Amino acid sequence: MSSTFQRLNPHQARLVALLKRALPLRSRDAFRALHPQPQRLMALDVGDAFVGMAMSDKWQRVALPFKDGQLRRDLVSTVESKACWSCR
Amino acid sequence: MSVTHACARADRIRDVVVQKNVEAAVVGYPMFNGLEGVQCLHTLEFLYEVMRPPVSLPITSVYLCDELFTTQQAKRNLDAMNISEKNRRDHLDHEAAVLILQDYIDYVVFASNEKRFVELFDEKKPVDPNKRGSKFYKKQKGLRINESVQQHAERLAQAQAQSQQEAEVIDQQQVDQHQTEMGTADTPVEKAAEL
Repeated sequence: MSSTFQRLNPHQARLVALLKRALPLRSRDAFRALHPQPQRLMALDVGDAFVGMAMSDKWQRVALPFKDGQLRRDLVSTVESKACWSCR
Repeated sequence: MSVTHACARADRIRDVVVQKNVEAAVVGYPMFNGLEGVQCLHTLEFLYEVMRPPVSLPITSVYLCDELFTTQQAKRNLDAMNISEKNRRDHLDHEAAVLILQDYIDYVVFASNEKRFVELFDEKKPVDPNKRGSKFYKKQKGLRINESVQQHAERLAQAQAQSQQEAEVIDQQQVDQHQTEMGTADTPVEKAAEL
């Protein structure tokens, strides 16, 4: 999130409403009701210059950092610590 | 945000989605005290760019996750990992995405698992005392092997009723004894009237 918060003007607010209607948005609780639940989850963090991407492992316990479809091995220390925490 | 730049990034993400067969996406939605800002609009625009109608993607649902100060938290995490300033800019958004997804997984998956865990290990769950090897079977020596749970409950209820009757009888005996000691008058009021 950028450091300065800018409010939406009426035109932008209308655009946000339109985009929300166009996208298949669901609530968090709707996820729990899904059977079977999705195997692969992806997270996106849209920044000012880059888009961060993470993906869940197949057991849906740990979030793994991805770049260009590859696991970021240089961030593996956090991944390991989280994996240990989830295995416990 | 330039349009060409956004398109290029959207293309890359679309490729990954198809390659990894991603079914659901969690997107950080930077709201501030429940208010939507311009950054929210940029996020939605980018998401629409990724999921444009002509392209068929396996993603069936998108979940917006309220992310506030995840970038700051990601900075702190990278500091703890001793990653240089030069590489930090590259890693920052990925680390923020990891935080968003981990938060979501913890909320959705672990909360439901916790409930299941409680159900599995609930001590109040009725246990068949006739089952060989169960703690109940070993503890209750007087219980017959072929006695059903219902019969056992009936026997317990009978024993309780019997003990209650005995207690009532004892109480009555004590009251009678007290009255004989104090005289024929039943209550202090009657005693005062006699006097």
